[in-house]
Amino acid sequence: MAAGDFQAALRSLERGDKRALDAMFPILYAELRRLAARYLAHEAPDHTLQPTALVHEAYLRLIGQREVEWSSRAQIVGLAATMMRRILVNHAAAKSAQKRDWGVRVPLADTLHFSRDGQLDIEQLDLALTKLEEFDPRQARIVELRFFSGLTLEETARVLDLSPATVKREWKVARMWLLREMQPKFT
Amino acid sequence: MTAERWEQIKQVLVLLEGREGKSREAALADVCGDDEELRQEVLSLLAQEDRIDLFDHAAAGDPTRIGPYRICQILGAGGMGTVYLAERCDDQYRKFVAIKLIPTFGGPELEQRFRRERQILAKLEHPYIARLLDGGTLGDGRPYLVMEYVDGQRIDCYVDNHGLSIRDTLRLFLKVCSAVQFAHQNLIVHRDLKPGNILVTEAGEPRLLDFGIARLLADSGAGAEHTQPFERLLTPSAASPEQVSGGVVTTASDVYALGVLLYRLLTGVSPYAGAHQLHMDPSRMIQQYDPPLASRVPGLSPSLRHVLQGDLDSVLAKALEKDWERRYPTVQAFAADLHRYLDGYPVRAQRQTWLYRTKKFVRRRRVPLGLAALLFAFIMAGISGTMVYARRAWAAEARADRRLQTLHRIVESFLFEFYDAVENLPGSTNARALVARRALEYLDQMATEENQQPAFQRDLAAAYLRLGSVLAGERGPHLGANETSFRTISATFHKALAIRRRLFQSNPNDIARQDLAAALWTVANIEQMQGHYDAAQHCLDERLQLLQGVAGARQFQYMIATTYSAYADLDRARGKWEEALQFGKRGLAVRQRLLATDSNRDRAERVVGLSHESIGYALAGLHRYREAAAEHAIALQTFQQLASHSPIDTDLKRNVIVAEENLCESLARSSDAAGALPYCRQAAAMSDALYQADRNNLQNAEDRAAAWATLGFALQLAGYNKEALFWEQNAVNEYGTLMQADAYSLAVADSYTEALLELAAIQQHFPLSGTCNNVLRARQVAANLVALAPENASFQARLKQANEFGGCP
Repeated sequence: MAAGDFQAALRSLERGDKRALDAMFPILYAELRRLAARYLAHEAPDHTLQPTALVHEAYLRLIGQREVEWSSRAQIVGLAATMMRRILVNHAAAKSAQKRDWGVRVPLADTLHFSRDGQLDIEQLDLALTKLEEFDPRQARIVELRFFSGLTLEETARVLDLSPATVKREWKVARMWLLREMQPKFT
Repeated sequence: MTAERWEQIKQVLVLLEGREGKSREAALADVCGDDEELRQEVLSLLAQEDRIDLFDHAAAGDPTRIGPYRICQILGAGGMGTVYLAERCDDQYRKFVAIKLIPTFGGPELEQRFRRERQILAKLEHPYIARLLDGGTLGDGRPYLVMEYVDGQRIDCYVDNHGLSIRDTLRLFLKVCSAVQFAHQNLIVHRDLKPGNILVTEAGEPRLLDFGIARLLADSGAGAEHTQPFERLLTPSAASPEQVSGGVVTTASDVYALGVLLYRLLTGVSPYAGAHQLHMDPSRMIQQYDPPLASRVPGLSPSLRHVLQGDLDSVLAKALEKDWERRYPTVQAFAADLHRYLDGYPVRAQRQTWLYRTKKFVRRRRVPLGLAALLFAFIMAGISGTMVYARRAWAAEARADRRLQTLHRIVESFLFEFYDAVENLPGSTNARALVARRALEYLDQMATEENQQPAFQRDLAAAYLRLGSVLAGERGPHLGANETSFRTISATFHKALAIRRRLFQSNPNDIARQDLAAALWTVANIEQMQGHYDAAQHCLDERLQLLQGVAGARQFQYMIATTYSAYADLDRARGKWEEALQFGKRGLAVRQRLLATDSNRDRAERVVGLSHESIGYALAGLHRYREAAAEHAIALQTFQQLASHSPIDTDLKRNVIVAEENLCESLARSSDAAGALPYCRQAAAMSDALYQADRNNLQNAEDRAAAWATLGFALQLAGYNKEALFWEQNAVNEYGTLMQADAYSLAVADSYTEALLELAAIQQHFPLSGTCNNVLRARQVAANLVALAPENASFQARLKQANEFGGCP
């Protein structure tokens, strides 16, 4: 059913009706949440949530076998990135609330793995990203696509219609800024 | 922070790009001047530089362990998942493996599928293919594959870094081809051959990764539609046009990908390099952008340009044909051309079918020697400019083949090489058309000359018939090249017929009578195929009259029976089933009468079997399936018995296979699916055995495809849709391969269309299975058939069936 509505909205989008994206939003969001919930229900200690897989699966379930115009595809993938951010942040908030009940503040290491010398707190990241959006929305968008949807440099470049070199540069600066912004939270 | 200030900071960071240590500090101080705040801001950002890969690890969601393996590091990531370097935890010695984690969810069904497919892939043992060692599924359903870890460089980097010469690059590439060819022989198509999937070891040996993984995903239900469109969405790759358009993916798709690879290795750039400026959607780019000839890639050195020009240009262009039917049919053919190039022979990239046939018929000495020599002389006189090529090729051939000892054989070989040389001259299409036209003109000229000696005229008629069959192709008329059009073929046969009529009139002896009857049969055949049913009937009438004029002689009696069979054939084509049945019975009566007294009992029994088959076809046309099954059962029994006497006679085996299919189909249509299936399965098994014994024989491949198609059809009637889908898909794939092999036979095209439509019908039981793609393809092929023979009723019916297939635009 949802997929049918989605396809109808998709057709409007392809006819150039930008409002169609609004119609898609709840369907895509519900689909992503459903998948994330299914994923997290299976959660085991040896693996973590994979945004790419979620976006990927949601996209394909809703699009089916249709050939979709590039511009529409880019818009949908872009939309999914925003949602993934929201889903991951909500999940992280729920998790950390749960952890806090145990009396220990633990970053979401079991949801998202990080490297040797520190861990990234997804809620903090979200807060920092919201600040970044205020003065460099394009860079924040790159972070969403790269980090929350797991797109590659080239894919991000295509979605945003930028050169890969630009995306690479912006992505690097964005990460530096975000890390610095979150720094006080690191121990 | 304001946007303006941030812009300023970013500009400073750009300026510092690539600078380290003191140089960076100096530059920073310089650019910031007295804006200390700016300097501090930038410094504090740069302090984070070492940690930014935190994000990468986070985004990937990397596990620390997979099954019994401990993850050491990420080797790479892409649309198809992440690849990790890992080591086995329980091993005494350190053994590294590569693990591919696939980003998809699955259930128990997918898991089972994966396990089965993995077992097949695990058997793919080849020195240039990285082994699949193990596999499993994580708790969340993400499948992973454990592969041999290859310590090597991507092939494109390897070639660049080692500065390989063109010849060394080709030799390396040929090793890659041999691995792909090996996999194809094991019915595994790679589907994703790109530089990143081909590593070269320190020792210079290639290793192909991810063999069959794409297929494994594609077949896993979840995987296929999960991975490919996503890839299609975001990453242009070495995918072939039919892959991005959702068409049938065959071994030809790998040929295309290998073409893309070789282009990249030889020129240093992707064939699509020029398209990127056009900002095309990747899938449109792959389907529409015509890459420049390799030698015309901008920026090549003049010497490299010179080497690429000509042969290598042609080879690459043929491998990169958008239309898979025009590509090299197999990797082997592609590789063979490169070997030919390396050995100094002309390449065959420009081959055209009918000349190949001509070459074959000359080689087989089917043409009277006198005519062959004359033809040779004509060619020598006609196109002497090409002789350099011919001589070079011939000299090589002579060196290679010590058996060329007699003049006769030298003439033959010379002629053969001449055709090859002409075929392979770049842009020689016109020259080849000229040779075809000249050959006809030559024969025509001979026909009008004073020389009316019967012996010569007999040779001339035989030559026309042969030229006609050469134009038509060994296995029947072809779709495709213009010069092989029906009209030319038909006209050529008619010329032979006219000569034989004259010969018979001037001297009505038995030989002339037999020759004329044979020509009439041939012409009837070609007329029938064009849908000229009345003309065909006239020929058969004339033939029957001719044969009935001489009573008694056994061979004429047999020819009369054959004529009845031909009538039955013709009436079936016209949909006159009742008449077809009567002619079938008349043929049977004649053959049964002869059976009692024939010394060649086996041959006599065989044609009796064929009569039963003919009757069975007519009964099936009348929807009397039970009776049809009874006839086919007799035919089967007859052929089986004969085959048991002559176990090496492959023609008899073919008879058995066809009879089994007929019986299976009739039983299935008479609602006895349970009784039908064993025959179909037996036919499939036998035809596969024949195919395995001689894979180069197109007839074997066609027979096997037909057996699969019938099995699929019967399974569908029996309600086993899943298995039906499997076999029918196999049949369609096989016919697709045959269509692109040199066959182009109308019979294959028609069977292909039929199988496509049956597949589409079966696919209707499965959502999202590409039904309409197959219907569209069927329409396309059927429309080609109708265009070629507008009056052929069965082609028309097929097109109608395709056009009326429900639910497709």
